[in-house]
Amino acid sequence: MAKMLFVDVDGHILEPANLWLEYIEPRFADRAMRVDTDLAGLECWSVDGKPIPFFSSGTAADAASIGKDQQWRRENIYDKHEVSWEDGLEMNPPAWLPDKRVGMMDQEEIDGSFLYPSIGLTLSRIEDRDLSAAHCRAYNNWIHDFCSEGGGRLFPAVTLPWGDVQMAVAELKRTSGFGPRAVQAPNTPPDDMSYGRLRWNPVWAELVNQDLPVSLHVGNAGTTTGSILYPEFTLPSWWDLVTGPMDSMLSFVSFFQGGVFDRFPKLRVVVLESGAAWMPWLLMRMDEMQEVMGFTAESKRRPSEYFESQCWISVDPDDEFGPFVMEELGADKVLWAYDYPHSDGSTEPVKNLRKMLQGFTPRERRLVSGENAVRLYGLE
Amino acid sequence: MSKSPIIDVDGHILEPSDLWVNNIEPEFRDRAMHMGVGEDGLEQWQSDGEGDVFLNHGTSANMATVGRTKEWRQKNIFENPSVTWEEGREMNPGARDPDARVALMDEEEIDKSILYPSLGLSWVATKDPALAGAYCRVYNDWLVDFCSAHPDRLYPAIILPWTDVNEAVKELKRTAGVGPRAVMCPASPPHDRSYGSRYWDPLWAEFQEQDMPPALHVSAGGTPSSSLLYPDITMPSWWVFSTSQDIQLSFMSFFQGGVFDRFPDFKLVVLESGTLWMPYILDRMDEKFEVISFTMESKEEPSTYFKTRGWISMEPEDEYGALTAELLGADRVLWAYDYPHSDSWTGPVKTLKETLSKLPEDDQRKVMGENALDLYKLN
Repeated sequence: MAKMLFVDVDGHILEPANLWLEYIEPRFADRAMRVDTDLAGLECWSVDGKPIPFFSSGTAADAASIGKDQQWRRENIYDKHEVSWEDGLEMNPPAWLPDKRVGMMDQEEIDGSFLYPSIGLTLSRIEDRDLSAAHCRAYNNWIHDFCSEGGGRLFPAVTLPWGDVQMAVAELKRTSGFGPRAVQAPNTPPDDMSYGRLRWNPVWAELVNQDLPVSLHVGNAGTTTGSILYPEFTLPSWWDLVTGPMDSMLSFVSFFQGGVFDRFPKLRVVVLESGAAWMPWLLMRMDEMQEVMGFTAESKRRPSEYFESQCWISVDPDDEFGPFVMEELGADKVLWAYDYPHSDGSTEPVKNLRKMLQGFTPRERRLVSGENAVRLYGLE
Repeated sequence: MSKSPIIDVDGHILEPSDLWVNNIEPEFRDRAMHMGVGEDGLEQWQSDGEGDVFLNHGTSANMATVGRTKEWRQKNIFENPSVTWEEGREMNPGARDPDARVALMDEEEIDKSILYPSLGLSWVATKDPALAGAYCRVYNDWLVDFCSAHPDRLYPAIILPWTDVNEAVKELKRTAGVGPRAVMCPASPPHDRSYGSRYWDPLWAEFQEQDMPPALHVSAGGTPSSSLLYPDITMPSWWVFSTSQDIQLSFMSFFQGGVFDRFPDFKLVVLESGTLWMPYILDRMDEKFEVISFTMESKEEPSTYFKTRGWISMEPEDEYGALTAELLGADRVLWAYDYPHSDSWTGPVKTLKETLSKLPEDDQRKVMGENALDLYKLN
């Protein structure tokens, strides 16, 4: 029996405080993202001299708090603001040191990891497009360097300046020599411009051209559904975490409304970090509505048909609906993700994943644990 | 299997379009809702000088197309709008005449139906609270009268003027004596004021007082989440029908705001939005409760409240309905026909029985009618 490979399709790094200061082109250095102090005198990340709302008020280090219980986080991070970004890095060496990352993966039995940003999830929100693109170039170069020290087991998720289509395409082309990589798309599009609209065609075309899948990942560039009811929540919150998947759902549905899979029959889309049990339900609903009102959408066929050939979804290893999702969608459609070191990632991912896969055939287990990811991303 | 009631918790009527013009209190007569003609020369529902964005371009009769094919609907309602609202009503006697409704229910083996509006789904957030209140009084009185022809078969779902919480409380109190009834709660809250906010407390208090659950139902209200990505699509459409984030957001906002804690006997029903998202969302809400509950107001895991005080309805053909009943408990699941709207299918009870067939008989009976009987006290 072939050995089971374990490929985590959505891990994170924590950006060193001087990442952009060191990697950005000199003409943008004054405006580069950095660890700063906000008007209340609390630690924040800032860009172009302005605090980044989600990583301000002394709570940025919450992104580094895997394994800490909420009492600890509430007291030390939210109430006392006693954990600095540097402290967060100290707590999680695998999040910013490649050799430590690989060591942690050895311990956790993870063979390969795709690495997404933390602070960098906000790069498409930078209003000045040149500045946004410069930050993406700096980040992508850094994560490329980082992964190149991972002994072939670390793969970068590059981030694009989605605010400008031409710049996004240019960055995709610029990074085409990076080797296997993922590409993150914010789960709310810039300017609330649906991914179904023709505006995005050049990006989809370039992704297809490079045979690269795109990942819908939590990280806002546009208006969130959650903000309709609670516009005042800008820091990490329960509301933000429970409504994030609504944004992924809305964006996912918009691909069908706009007929993207018809125009790009080779485009592949991965949905990350949003839970998975809703997917069979949403596909069923969209299929049903296709029977009722299909003539008002641009997709020609039932959404579930495109899903079969062009979409994937990731589960958390401790998701109790994991087996259900595998049965409904097929083991070839399911990936898994650790989310280390964010506060809502649970520890011991592979142990949990093995438990989830218990009732499945060896082939199905191998697909979900790693082979799907190998095939999808063209890994060796 | 012994005879147990079969209760549809979400059917619809099609209102006479001249209902308000003929019955509204005199001071509002000039502003009464009516079926007018839009700039394109096609039917448009109009209220107080404004045209409705959903019931527009001659497509209102889409709500009367149960049993029609997609092709028929595309041709006759959308491409060449040739069915007027009143013609749509003509096509469906069961949606406009209580005797015909009961005859249809007999044929379909439905014992009892709770009746929701159709036009009334669009004007729940009428801007002027006084006018909204007047609309509701006309509608509720008419619907109560409609149902009174068969008091043990038909039950009204009351509409409240959600534009203003005090007006809404007033109408909820005014209708307290009409016998068993349901009350519709807009999918998204008017003014985008979260249902978790203290603003709504007087209304939740009155619901609790009357031991009556509001029922989240697809409708107009605040900003629809579907409009974030396609503000240009407001009409009946695949996009609008495929995105049910509004009900999910509203549902979650009750937990964000701690409503179930402040009102320990408050109950909530969720209608017409599918089922399987509910176990998923309860699971996610619980999981994130462990992560960061100090940023929300509920004291316990959200699923704890739902176990005794939440219900969700399934469509007869929902292939995940039985699974949802297994995951949430059969006590938590109701079913709904949605006649005569475009996304309902004929023969609901036959379909429902097939869908539920893998559940134990006790559980089937609960979903088919016993839960609704208890919840709405329909005896």
